[in-house]
Amino acid sequence: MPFETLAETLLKGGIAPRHVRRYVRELDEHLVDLTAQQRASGYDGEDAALRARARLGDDADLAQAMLEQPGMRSWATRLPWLVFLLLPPVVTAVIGLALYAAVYFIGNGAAKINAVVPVPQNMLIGFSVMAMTAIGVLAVPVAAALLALLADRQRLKPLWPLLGIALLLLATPMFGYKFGHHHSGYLSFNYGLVIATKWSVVVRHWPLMLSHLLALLPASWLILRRKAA
Amino acid sequence: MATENNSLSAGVPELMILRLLQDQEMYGYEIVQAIAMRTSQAVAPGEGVVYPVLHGLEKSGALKSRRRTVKGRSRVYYTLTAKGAKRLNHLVTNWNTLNAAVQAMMAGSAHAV
Repeated sequence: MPFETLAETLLKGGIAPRHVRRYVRELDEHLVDLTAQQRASGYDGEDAALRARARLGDDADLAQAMLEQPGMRSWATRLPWLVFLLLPPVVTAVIGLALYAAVYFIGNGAAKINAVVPVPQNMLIGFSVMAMTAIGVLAVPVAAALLALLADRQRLKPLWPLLGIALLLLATPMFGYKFGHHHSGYLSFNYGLVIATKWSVVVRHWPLMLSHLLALLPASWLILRRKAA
Repeated sequence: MATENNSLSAGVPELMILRLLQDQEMYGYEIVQAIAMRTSQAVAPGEGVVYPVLHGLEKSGALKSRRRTVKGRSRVYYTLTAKGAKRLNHLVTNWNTLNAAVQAMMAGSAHAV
């Protein structure tokens, strides 16, 4: 891939991936024009390509020019505490709760839905319960995976994303529900930490335990990726 | 808005780019060729460094860009915005002041010699 070294340098320098992609693409297009110009001037094949590349500028100058531009750095580089610590618990809770509420109303309103659409009530309730359990289990691991991917994509050191994942584990968004009509049904949400001191706690809170276990996978993956880099 | 500094050459690449784009929409390669031609090759940096300047100007609102395909080649074309026109006026004023100051300095030096 052309300009791979330059792209790596810029990413490691904190430039946002979208700016890196655009820069590299425009450089690539410029190089095509320069090479055509060199060919038109009588240089052939590799000679034209080498002359064109030299006119474009060396990697160090091209990188320096971009690194000096204000406003090209990613949010994760400029405000890591916001991106990795503050936003993940809030965003995970908001999106998780929205999804949780949507499937809750399918289960809680199964009778009403059944009156309109010929789907058995048991099936709707079963789907609702299963989907809510899945959301409870997957919300934190998915958020952790996104943090790890973001950090890897921007070649960041793993400290901030690992702190972010740790915070998600310590203040895990936990959702609860009870089906029922009028005031007897409810949705609940809170941040919390469950410390399992007995097997009975593990068994009772198995979705949360599974969630924590799964959330450790992206953290391990990120550590291995950064070590290998 | 793009930042200014006290370096004598500060703002010169911006000035040249904004001036070129005042007349017409252009893409990076065209801009570099036009600068080289109009300055008789006196200004010929590594051509790729024009893009960070273009991106910075776009981010500050002085330029806007769009991808266009012309004769089968897809390229990013840049145009000046109203904010860019103001920025250009400001840079031209600064440049003229600096130029006059340097001319006066040189004339003074010539008298001194």
